[in-house]
Amino acid sequence: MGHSFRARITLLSVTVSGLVLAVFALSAWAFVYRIGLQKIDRDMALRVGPILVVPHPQDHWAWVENGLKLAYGGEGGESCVVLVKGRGGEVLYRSADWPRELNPDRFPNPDPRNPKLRILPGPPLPPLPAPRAPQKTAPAPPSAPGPPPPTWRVLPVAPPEFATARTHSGTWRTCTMQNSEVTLVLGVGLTRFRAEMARVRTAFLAALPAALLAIAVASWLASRRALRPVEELARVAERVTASSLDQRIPAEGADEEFTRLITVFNGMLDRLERSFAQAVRFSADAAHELQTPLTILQGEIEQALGATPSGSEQQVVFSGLLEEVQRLKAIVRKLLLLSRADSGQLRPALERVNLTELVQEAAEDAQALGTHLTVSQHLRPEVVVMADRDLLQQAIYNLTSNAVKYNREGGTVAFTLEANNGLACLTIANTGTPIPAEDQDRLFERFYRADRSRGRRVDGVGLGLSLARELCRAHGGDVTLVESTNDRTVFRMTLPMAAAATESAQASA
Amino acid sequence: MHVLLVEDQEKIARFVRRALEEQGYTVQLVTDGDEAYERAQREHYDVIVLDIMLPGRDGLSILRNLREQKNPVPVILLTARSELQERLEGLNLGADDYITKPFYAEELIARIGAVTRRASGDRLNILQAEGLTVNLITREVRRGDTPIELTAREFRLLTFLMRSPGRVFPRTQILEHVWGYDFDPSSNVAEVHIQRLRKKLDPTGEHQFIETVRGVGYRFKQSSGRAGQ
Repeated sequence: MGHSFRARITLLSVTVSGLVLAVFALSAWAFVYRIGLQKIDRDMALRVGPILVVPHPQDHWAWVENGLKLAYGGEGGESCVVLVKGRGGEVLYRSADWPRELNPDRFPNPDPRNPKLRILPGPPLPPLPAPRAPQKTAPAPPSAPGPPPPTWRVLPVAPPEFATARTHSGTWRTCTMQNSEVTLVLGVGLTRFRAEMARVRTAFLAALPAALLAIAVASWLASRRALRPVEELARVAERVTASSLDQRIPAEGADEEFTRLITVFNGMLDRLERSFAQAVRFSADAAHELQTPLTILQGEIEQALGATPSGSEQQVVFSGLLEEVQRLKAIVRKLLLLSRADSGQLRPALERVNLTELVQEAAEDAQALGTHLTVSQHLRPEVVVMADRDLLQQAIYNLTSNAVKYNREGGTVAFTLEANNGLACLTIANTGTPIPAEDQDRLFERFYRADRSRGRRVDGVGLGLSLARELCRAHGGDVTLVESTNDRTVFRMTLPMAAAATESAQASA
Repeated sequence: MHVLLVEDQEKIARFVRRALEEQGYTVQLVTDGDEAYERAQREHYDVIVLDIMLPGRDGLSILRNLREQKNPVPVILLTARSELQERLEGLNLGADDYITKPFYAEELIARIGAVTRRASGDRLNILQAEGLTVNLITREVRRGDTPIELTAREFRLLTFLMRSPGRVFPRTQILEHVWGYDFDPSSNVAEVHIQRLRKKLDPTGEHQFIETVRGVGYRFKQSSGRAGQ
């Protein structure tokens, strides 16, 4: 089997759309990932920025962390950690669950000379409330720790920097921001985000094959629909034989690309049918018209022959004429049979025929036709076929006379009759010059003779083989050339065997 | 023997009629189907030789109508080779035999003899000449009291020649009668079979039952009492 056009179309559309879909899915996923990450970053900056615009005393950081944890935690939230570094690189505060692998040194120290530091513009700040004397109200021991008095100050802040870090406890997105006094690092866990992205990826991966399958099915069906006129064309062309040249393809409903093809094809069939019908009618008519004059000619010669003295000169002449009439009769009869076969009207009158007996007689004839030949026969007894006896005899005789005609002096003819799988198989092998390879294909053509070089040495007009084949085909069998090698030419004739007449055989037994 | 010959081709009708009359038959020739049907109903014939293609009523419908009226007259159909279907139909309709054109008058006469013998059921199924006895039914051949075994072809060959002793049959005609199909007329198959038949009939070679007519064919030996041709 060659490549299927439909399969190729389907494969092509699946490949192309598969590639397109894959690229689309990949970029869509990357886009969604980036958007998600940006949202997280913005979120972090929004929380950290307000914290840094004002100075915080050392013991505030735990509260700051609590506030952030409150914002990030909760139902469906992420974990978050906080790191605060002072100007000398010292860690002012670190969350208890700060991942170990994240070395504080990797984050920059606050630098008051950082050019990115800006005081954000805003309204003037309210004046500081005057500090009350602590000894007047509640004299506290001066050693007791307490928050230093708040100082209303605004610090310059640098824009945030973001990074992603992988640790044992998960992947973290960090937002690093600094003012002139501290650097604050907020780390937010990405576990939940990444899980979400994995789900999106899985959805894409699952959808892709489904989409490809749908595309494959759709293009397979679509291409079948598109190729239907071509299949119809092939189907009709297959059905077209000599006896059914009236087949046509309906052009209605076909796509316009195919309408022209169908019209041309139908037109070709029209012309073929017409000329074939003409040819068949002509040879049938011609043969038929010849019957009457031949009948008269033969009848008159027969009578004249009877009326002339026995052994006289005239009688020899008449006898010769009769032979020529016989030749004409044989040609006319063969032409008629062939034209019948061509027009599909060769319907044999079937009866049970003992093929073994017919072949025995043929072998007898072969011996009589070629007395110099050695004729052998290996015949399976009682091979019965359903056939028209006259037509079958004619077919066998044509093969037999061929085997004798094209034999060599002192050669052999071997008849073999076998039966297997309900098929009767007669092979006739003869010695003699082989049929040239270039002639073997044309052997069964009308009026074809492979022996042009040998001229008129043998009698016949080259209808025998084609007639034998047509006759066998009309019986559901065939005639083929099996081989023609040096000094061995073999023809095979096959015929379906008659169903065993078991009932009648048992009845008579 | 009264024969109704229905054939519209004048020249064919002429030689058939002549041949039948030579055999001593009386022949009524009709060229039209309708007239043929009327005559067949009205008069008694021993056999009807009926062409299928006729002006007026065609041969097959004449046959059908006759058989519907339980008319048992033997009918031999004349058909063209192409009419395989008609040939079959004719036999199914009750034709006793058919003969295809182009045919030999001799063959037609043999067929007429066969169907009328069958119809009358008489004992004319024995041929006798020159001490040979041939039973056409049992296919036994005897010379005097000695039975002779013949193959089917040899039997057909012998009876064909023996039916008209003294008459010369060209090889072509013998081939057509005995072999039926289109035998190559230049083949020597007839000679070979004649030689074999001669040996079987008379192994010693003293008595020639079958004579060769040089350049023409063969004939069965004429009984000494009758005039030769």
